[in-house]
Amino acid sequence: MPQLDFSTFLPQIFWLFISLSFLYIVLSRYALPRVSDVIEERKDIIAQDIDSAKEYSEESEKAIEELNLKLSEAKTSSQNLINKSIQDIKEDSEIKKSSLIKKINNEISEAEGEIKEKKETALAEISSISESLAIEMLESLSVGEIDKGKIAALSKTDN
Amino acid sequence: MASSDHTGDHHGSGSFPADPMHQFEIKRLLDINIAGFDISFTNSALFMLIAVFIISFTTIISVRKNSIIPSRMQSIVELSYEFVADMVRQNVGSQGKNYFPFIFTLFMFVLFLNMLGMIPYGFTVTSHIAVTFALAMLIFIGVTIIGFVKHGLGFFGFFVPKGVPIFMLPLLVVIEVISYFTRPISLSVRLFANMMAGHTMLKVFSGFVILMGFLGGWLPLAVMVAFTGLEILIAFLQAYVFAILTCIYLNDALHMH
Repeated sequence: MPQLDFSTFLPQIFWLFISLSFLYIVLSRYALPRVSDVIEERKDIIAQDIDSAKEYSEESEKAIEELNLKLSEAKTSSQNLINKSIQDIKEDSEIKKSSLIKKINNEISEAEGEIKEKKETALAEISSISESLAIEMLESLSVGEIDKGKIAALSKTDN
Repeated sequence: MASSDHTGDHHGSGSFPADPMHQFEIKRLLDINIAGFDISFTNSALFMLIAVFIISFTTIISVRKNSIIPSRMQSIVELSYEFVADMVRQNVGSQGKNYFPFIFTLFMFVLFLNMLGMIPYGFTVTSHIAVTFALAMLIFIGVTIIGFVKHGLGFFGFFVPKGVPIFMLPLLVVIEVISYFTRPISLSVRLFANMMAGHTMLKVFSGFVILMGFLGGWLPLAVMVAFTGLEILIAFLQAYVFAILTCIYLNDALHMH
């Protein structure tokens, strides 16, 4: 078994300590600080990137909020406009309606007055016509003296 | 030197096509001897240096600054960084930050040594008890020093369990001390035995492939392929276990349960 050849122990152990201490010096002085620097640097960069990403997202959220605010403002103003115009239209139509009704009423009353007048004249005419008609009829019958006053009174009372 | 003889002969596999222990042999590539100490550059040292080179190169070259989207290699480096950092954070807590570079070094080193062993003709440095035990002792001694620096002599209280009847205490203290001192052994043997057993088994099956020839060799080949996948998993898992146990020992030293 070569492992138990004691004459090889010293050279093995000597070179073990030489190489191990050399490796330790190289790694602890140069390599490992470099590696840890690089890792730290990368962590910093990533943290910075995350921070700026957070900032951007906050900004975008703010912009969204502003947008929403403006949207709601626009909505309310447009609603107001709509309401106002509806009100205006309503008032306008109300006014027009009432004036139209008034006009119609006037016309109706005018027409009624006219009808009344015409009726009265017609009635007056009827009594005179019937009076004259009665006189004529009596005269043609030749009943004698005709009491014109009585007939006039009759024609008036009959109507 | 020159004592790296063919130890595979002990296993009596004279006619076996591939000596399963041959892969663990330490070969001296460059004889170095300073003040009577043999510190020859071996294949083990070569693979350690390869691991050190790969780890240093990838962690330094592939990590570019100002890169929000990392490249593939950089992702791997960052993933392993986060992986070990999480392991230290969960097992040691905030105080473990100071020891993170060491845990990272240890994990990557063991992981790459294990993985380099999976490459054909590669050498598995961690399949040698000398290496794993030296690593474990380094951790054990370091953690014990940290414990005494943090708590002074109060660190001896670590061996005294709380809420135990007084007559049971001597026995339990002995058990605690023994379990503390067997830590480096269990830590090193676990890694070494796993790596060695896996590689030996792969080699044995590869021998079967040659022995059974073109007609019968497909079955052991299929087993080998499956075991290679399993070995890669084990190579990662053992590196992870090694690092996480180091974290747990460190946590014990820092917080004393």
